[in-house]
Amino acid sequence: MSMLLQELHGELRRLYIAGSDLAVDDFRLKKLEPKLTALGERAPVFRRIAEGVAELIGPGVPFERAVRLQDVSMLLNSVLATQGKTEVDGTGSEADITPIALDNRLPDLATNHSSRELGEVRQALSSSGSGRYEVVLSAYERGLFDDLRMLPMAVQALGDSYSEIADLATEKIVPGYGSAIVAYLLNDLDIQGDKAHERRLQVVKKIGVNPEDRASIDKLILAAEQGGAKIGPAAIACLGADPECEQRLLDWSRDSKKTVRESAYFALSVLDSIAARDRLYEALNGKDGLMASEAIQPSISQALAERLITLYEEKLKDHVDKKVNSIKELRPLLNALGKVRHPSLERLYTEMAQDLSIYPVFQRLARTEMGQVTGAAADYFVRSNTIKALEHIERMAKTSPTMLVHYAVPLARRILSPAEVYERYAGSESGKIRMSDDLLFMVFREALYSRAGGYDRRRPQAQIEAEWDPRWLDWAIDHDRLSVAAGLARLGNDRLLPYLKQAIRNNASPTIENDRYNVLGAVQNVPFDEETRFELLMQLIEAPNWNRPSTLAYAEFALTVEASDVPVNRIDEALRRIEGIMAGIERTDYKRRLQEAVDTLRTRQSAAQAEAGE
Amino acid sequence: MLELTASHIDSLAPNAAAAKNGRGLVLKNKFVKLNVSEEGDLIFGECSGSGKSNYICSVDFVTPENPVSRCNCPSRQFPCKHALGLMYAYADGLTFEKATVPEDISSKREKAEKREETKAKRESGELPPAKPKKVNKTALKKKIAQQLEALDELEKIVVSLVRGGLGTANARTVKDLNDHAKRLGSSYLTGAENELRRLALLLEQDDRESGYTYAAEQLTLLNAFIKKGRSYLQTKQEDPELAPDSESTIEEWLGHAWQLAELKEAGRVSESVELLQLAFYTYRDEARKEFVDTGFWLQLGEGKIHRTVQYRPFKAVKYMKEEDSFFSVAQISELYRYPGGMNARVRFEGMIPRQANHADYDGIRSAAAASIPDAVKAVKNQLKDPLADRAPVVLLNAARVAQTENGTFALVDEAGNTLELGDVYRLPQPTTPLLSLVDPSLLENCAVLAMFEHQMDTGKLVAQPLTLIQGERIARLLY
Repeated sequence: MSMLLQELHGELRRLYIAGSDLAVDDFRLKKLEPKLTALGERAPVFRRIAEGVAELIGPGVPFERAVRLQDVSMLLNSVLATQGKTEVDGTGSEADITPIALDNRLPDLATNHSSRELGEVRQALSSSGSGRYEVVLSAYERGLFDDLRMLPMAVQALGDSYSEIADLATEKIVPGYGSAIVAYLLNDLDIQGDKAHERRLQVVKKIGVNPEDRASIDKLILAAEQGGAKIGPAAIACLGADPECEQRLLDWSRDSKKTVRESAYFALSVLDSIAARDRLYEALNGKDGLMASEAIQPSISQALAERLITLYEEKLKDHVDKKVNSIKELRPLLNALGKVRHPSLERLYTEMAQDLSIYPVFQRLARTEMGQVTGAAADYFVRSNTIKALEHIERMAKTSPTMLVHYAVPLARRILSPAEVYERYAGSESGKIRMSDDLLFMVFREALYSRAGGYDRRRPQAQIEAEWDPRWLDWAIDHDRLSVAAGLARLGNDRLLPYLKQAIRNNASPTIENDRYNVLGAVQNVPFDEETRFELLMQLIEAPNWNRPSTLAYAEFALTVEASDVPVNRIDEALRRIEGIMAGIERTDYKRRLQEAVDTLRTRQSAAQAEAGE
Repeated sequence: MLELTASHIDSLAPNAAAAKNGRGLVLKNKFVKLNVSEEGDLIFGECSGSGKSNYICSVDFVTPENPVSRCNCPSRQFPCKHALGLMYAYADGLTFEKATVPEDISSKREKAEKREETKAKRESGELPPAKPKKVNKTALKKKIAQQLEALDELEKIVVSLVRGGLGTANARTVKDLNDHAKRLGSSYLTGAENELRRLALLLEQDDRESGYTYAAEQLTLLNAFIKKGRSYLQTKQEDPELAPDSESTIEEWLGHAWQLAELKEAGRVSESVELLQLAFYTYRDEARKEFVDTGFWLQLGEGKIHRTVQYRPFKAVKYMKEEDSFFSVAQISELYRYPGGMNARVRFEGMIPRQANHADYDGIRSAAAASIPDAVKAVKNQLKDPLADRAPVVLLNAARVAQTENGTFALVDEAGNTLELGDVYRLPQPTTPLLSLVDPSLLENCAVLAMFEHQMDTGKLVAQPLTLIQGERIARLLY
């Protein structure tokens, strides 16, 4: 019976689409009619349906026919609503239903976040426009993605059109669910899919797949073999976890496509079987050397590293058949060993630091090429965080002094106190390793200022005071390094102000414009008293030659903005001094800027007077 | 002494941004003065803003279920961020100095007290009741006539669409339907206006096939509405003083917005009720042009599942409070019940939260239907009325939730009856895919809050799980 009624529903739906005007003599309904009439014998409601259908296809006015279709349909829907099938397909008996698989379970994700909180993230991830990244990042930081309901949104974010969101999802959010997410990600992976699906595989690569989870491995193999141009290699990179894939990976490592080989190298380094190591050793010495070295760097095993260190040493010592004549032959090894920590490597680099001449290869390399090898050694030492390592670097710096700037001082600052750092590099008595003024200047330029948008930004005052010994300020004054003195400026040095006031007038210095801008940074950040601050600011405005051609327009701009903001009781004096120099300025652009500052000051002055008069 | 929790304050906030800004004020130490009254039922203070003078704000808990916030800032949100910040500061345990209640507030309190008194006196009959609103009979008759006329118009456009067939519908048809819907709205048939617009949306839908199925269903729904509405209005036309039908949903279909006083008059108020929210979600209803915040609540001790609905027109979103999930028990002195089926809408003004306890959670299990067939029978009984809510929500006990070989999820009761779980069309998000992600232990011996929907094309009555409850663990799948 319900089959018949469901069939009738289908026919009526067809008429709704085609229009009731076409219902006259509808032959499919006609075929149903006798059955419906028979059913009508059983209950009045069925009889009414049968009668309705008869009228619908019989003769009549079109308007009535439409009404009839509506009425029959309404009646039928009501009847069908009481006959809805609720059992699952199949026999409906419990025996066919399996409990939900217990393996691959996710950590117990709570659902205690409020709809409003989650809704904000959903809105951000399902719309476009600005500010979305901030919402997602803050949600991640607040742990909103630990909510079960956010998981589908997190996976969806892998395909976000704004790549920073997609990157955040790939790097942090989705891997945060742990290894159980792998099965979920692979379950509906589209092997011909787009970037979003490639990113799924990047996540799988990042967290690794459990070789016991055959369904996931099979899916990966399928994707590797039949997937699209991006999906295939991404899937190959995930397969290193499965020892059974060894042969496949070895084959892929000889594929004609570069991306396939690259992924295979990575997977082989994860697999780390004897055959895998042999193949990688071979690749590193072949024409794929550079590419392979980059692919395996994050996952290189100690066993492979050991073999490579031996080879590295042989090459350095000319113990190989072919002599190394260019850095090109060493670069794959430098790359592959770039993140490795190993006693043999440490010994090798220590020997190098003691005496470079023991490696004949250095005599054939150009100076910059040699720098790459010693740089790798210094890099190794920097990550050791020991005094010994620092001494090694300093020893190497005797031949290339810039190492002090790039490796020694950063390491020293990490492991020594600010006072010790000062004494080590500028102290008068101990002064083991005196750095030249120019080198120190390089150190400070980088340490005191971050360059953003093409101009210097002074680091926070508290950071500067905590990180640098106060004696450096005297050093900067002694050596007349204005930008360093401005960058290190702090209260408590009597020589500072006289020096600054004299130095900012040195219009002959080629870097004076930038230096003055640095002094302005000090005026803004050092907690000088009001008088000092005002006087320095005024002198900064009076010092320059405002008629010279300049490209540093921002410095002047910042000065005039700052000048518009002097305390109310100083406005009179500021106006007098600014207008004093304006008289001698010919450049209209600068004049206009100063005029704007003057105007602002006058407005503030009259506002203040009005308030006082009230 | 006043007890405030952060989650309670969150629930008072009009939206997430206001709550965040309020917290920000506390973090940034913007409050220059924090006071509490001797009785502890008023907190007040001053908060510095960008201007010269501070904002003076207070939150009055003299009626704890309905805290009143006051502030001299120009914000149109209530409570404003300053009042919220004040409450967060209190909940965070900041020091509030004891002080006497400021004069302006005590005078406001007095006035409010007086209002309450007169109201109570009126109710008890001590004072003559306020003059009943005079019904303008001619105006009402005119309105009914206009509604009837609009119903005839509606029938015409529906019939012409049925005659021509949905297959011929195009952008033009959609526009006509929308224009017509607008006219219905101005003829006091806002309910029909929304449903006609819903039909237009279905015809615009990308997935044409499912669009047709639901559009055909929508057409029969409109038919049922026209019939029922016409006979109802005709009776009313004969006797305009007839009280609105407070038993069926026809008034709401016509577009009547029930006033709390009307519901009270019709005896649709329950006193001293405790509700525990089991599910909450917000969605955009394009037909209504409103956000709809929907909550499903269990009435503790009673076992009924009620629905709270808050409509926020797209245009007024900025100024309206966005409802939110609520995790405590709401103690409500007067619960207003709308006419309706299994999950009739309820409303309440003000409530006092309390932490849910063992007994409450036990109550969930005992309120859940033990047998699938019994629950389904009740659902079907509602669905056979064409104007009844098409998506009833039921709380069911499950021996387990399981999966068939082809991946379909099913709920199995003690007796071994099964109920297929799937995603229903009327909910904004799917939830069944989440079942494979929840902790499997949660899927045994649990209660499931589910929304039913009869799917016309397959003849299936499908249930979508909204929330899983086991002991004191509640997994909300919808948001």
